[in-house]
Amino acid sequence: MLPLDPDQELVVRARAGDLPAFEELVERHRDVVFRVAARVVGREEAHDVSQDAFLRAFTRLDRFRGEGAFRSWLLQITHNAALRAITTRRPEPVDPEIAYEEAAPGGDRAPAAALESSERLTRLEGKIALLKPNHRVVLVLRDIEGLSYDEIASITETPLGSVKGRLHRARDELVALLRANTYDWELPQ
Amino acid sequence: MSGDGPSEEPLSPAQQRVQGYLDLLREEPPRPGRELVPAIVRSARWQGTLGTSLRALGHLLSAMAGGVALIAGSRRRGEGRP
Repeated sequence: MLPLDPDQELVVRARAGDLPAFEELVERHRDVVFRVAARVVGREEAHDVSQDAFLRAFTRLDRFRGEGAFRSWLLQITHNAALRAITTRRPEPVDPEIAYEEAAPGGDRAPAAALESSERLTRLEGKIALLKPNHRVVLVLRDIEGLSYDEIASITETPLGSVKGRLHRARDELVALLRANTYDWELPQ
Repeated sequence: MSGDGPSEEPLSPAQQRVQGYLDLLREEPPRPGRELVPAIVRSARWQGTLGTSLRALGHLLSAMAGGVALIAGSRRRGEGRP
């Protein structure tokens, strides 16, 4: 027997119009929804995408059949909201200057380790923002959020094999982007 | 990281290094501002109220249409009598 989704009772109450129950669901999942949104669309748009995702979930609660976890269903909506935002707004990467920097041919590169920690992370985020959206989503869900392949397949509504393929390509793309950087990320050949 | 470890394809040395950087990224997650939850709840309340009002309006219009049909039907029946 599958363990009962801890959100199920709140979902039932929220579906019946119990707003405090919905607020509790938002409190429980706001961090993961915001994190995923921010990693996919950038921090500036993450608030709007998160709000959009929660409100869409609220108006579609009657469509949640409880076959999987509420969190997965909510992240599926977040994923769709994020891709919609990318498609419609076409935002610039986190920081174009950082994102598009490239190593001068034959030039010495400063080690990335010499950067301030926050600067290094900002530059890494800039590189992730350059990945193709479908690849970026899978990399974020697997390598940053640590979700299982099955959950990612459910969230992205993609076959398991495609999830693994996208992840493989995303990792290769990121390695290539970091190798072409002005900073030396000390990646072995 | 959760689940499916054994079936994971092995990472290249460069990918392993990148995983280390991604771990650092995971340790410093972006956090939502305090205004996010109140903003969502406010909008949900507004949407709930709007939905209730529209449903009530729908019921009212449906009842009025039913009433009009009933009156029209009874008049037609009345006109048909000798």
